[in-house]
Amino acid sequence: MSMLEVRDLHVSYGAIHAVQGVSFDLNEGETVALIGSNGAGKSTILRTISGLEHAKSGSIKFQGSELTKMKAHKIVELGIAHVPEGRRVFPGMTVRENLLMGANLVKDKEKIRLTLEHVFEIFPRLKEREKQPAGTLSGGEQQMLALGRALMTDGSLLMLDEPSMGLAPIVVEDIFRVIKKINEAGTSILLIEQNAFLALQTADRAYVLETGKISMHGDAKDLLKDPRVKEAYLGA
Amino acid sequence: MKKVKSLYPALMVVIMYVAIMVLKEVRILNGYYIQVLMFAGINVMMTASLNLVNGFTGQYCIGHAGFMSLGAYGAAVVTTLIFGGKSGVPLLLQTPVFLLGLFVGGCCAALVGALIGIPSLKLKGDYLAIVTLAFGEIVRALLRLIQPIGGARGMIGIPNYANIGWILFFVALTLYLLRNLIYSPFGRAFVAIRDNEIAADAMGINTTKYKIMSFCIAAFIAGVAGGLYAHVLSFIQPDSFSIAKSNDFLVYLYAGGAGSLTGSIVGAVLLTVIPEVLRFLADWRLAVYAVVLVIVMLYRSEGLCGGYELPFLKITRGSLYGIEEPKKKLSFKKKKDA
Repeated sequence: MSMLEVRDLHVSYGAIHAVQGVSFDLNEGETVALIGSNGAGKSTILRTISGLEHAKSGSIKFQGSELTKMKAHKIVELGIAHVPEGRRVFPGMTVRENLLMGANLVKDKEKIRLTLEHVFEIFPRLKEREKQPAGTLSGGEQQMLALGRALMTDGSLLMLDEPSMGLAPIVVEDIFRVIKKINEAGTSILLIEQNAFLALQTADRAYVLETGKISMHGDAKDLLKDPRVKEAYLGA
Repeated sequence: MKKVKSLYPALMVVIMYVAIMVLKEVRILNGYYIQVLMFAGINVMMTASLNLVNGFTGQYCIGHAGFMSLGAYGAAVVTTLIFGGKSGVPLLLQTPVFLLGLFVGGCCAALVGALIGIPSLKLKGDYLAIVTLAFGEIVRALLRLIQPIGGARGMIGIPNYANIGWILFFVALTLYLLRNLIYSPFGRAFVAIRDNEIAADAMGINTTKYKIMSFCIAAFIAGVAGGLYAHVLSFIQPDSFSIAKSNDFLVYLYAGGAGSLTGSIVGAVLLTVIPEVLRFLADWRLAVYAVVLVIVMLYRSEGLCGGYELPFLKITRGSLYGIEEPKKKLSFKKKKDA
């Protein structure tokens, strides 16, 4: 059985039908990418899974529990960590406080301490900046912080919304290397990316979204070679 | 040594009280000055509680005087109508009755705070502001209609139980509780909501619950402050708690610095005292007051103490959620210090 099962999902903002009957699966341990252009409905799908938007119809099942009627904080408790678009850190808090904020649902203190150490291992830069207010970090560091904070929730599924947005190419490479590492350590990842090339290189499988519908899906490697994908998203 | 240090703020309050008493004895402070100081104290409580909602949780409440009026009326009903004022209770029981009144006043405000909070806190920003504004005016309009508490004429003969000692005590208590709340792991959730509500949601923080809680706590403190106000002035009327009053607190808050408890003290005390000091200017004093505000906003838009907190009004915890911070100072900090 798959870990995350989305079936015939519809989401609208007023008259705008942003997601029109999307279905996809994510198996435990996988990295799945949703790619597509601006306005294809990628972020909306993520926001609906994490309870920030409400589905009009359809179902989202995570390890057997139905998410569509659940509140956002309950969904985090189930083990879904969401890194929202545009590096939303808490600028007024220190890096450390930001990270610990991610662990606010974890009761076991020893576990929090270990996860914190683990996050600092993955992102040594955050350790250096531990006591600095998050608002003073560079864009790349803030993205690392947002990622680290999501790891602190100790979830089994990590959802990333455009982790490359607005970052220098060299920083993007770093971030994606870390994403791969996180996945290898056992966390399943649902990745949204406009940069289709990067996403397909990182993911195991991918779904292509066009104006609220899935137009193609398959192994990431195959999609990388697919002439239609190449033409539409890879610019070749 | 550390224990002694943590007692300094309490000691300061006692010293302040003794100083005021001495100054009163030697006739430097007359009754009028003392009353101004008492109002300044009440305004500090109002501003600090508003700070929890507007400054620390990032919501926008512009009807804070509504909570104050509920507290004032709640407390006055207990001490004056139920217990019959000063002549109705023996001397020994006056203090318990007074405290009971304040508590009831605070509870009235907190209850109504929760009631308007539950539907309205789904709103954000401007929309929330409009609802709180309407709330303040509804409370005022309703109080004018209730005849047993005097209607529009107001309530008279409220015993003057509150003195400068009580006010100092409650101001200190308010600041102590707010500080401990804001710097607790629990209170960090308020700041997280202010900093970024979507991220707070995504981190599993029940944002609605925390927003209502911040409203309730602020309303309770405002209610107690209102109760004190009634027992200083001995007279309250619905129109004392109009939108103009709510505006005063907003001005104190933003001139002092939202998100800083120090700012709430400085803003409220300074702006309560300045108009009194300027009384010799007669009608010009309001103009001067306004000019002072414009200058503050031009040169320090974050407020006089924005981003600054007195050491005893913040807790730099060695740990959050019981997780110790490293003992060693980090290198980049040293560089900054040098």
